[in-house]
Amino acid sequence: MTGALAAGMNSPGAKGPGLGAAAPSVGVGGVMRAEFSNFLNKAVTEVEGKMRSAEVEKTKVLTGEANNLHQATIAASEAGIAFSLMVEVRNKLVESYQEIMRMQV
Amino acid sequence: MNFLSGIHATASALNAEQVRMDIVAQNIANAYTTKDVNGGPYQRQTVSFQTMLGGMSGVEKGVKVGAIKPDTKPGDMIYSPGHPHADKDGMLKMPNVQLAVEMVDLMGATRAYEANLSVARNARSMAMKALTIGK
Repeated sequence: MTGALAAGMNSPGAKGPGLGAAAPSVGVGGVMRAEFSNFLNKAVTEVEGKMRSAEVEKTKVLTGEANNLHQATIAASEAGIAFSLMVEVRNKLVESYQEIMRMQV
Repeated sequence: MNFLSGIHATASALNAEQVRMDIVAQNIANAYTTKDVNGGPYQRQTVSFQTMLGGMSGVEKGVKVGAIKPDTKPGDMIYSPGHPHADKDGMLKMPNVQLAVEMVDLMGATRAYEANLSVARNARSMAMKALTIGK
């Protein structure tokens, strides 16, 4: 699921060069884009890691390996919040992209 | 990234309260056990907590179970000749578990657990509220 989202997040970025080429400051735009996509990639990886660890905790509880239910629920809610944050960032990104696309030239 | 502030302390407290609840359960279960592993009647166990450093920053003070010690107070002696664990005078040493005390401890553990759960819930709702800033 996160992989699909990551791909979805990359697509607005992939259209970046087109926009960058139209802009006069290609170099600055290009550098900025690379940094931001790195940051985004890191964030997505971290969210995925959190979800994975929540899954591990849940499996541990379900298989009876651990009996602390709260650890699993805390891990799950942490993963949920991280995911919501990621979705929020993605929404903002798409919103600004669409704002730029609507711009009159 | 730590989204839920103070969650490590809360999680450790939940763990500790769970241990406390386990010990209460053990005490209630053995309220009438007249032969422990050491031969005498069961002695009720008591839990003590101590602080524990941990968490992301390493300065967050959590709680852990410090020691589980037996309560050495003697239990009641009752006259029960014929009981397999009675002495030669027919007196039987009972465990020093008092059910009322254990129930109070159980309630305390439950309420403390609830308190920590509400901390966790509020930490979560604060994080969710923070996400609505951009909307």
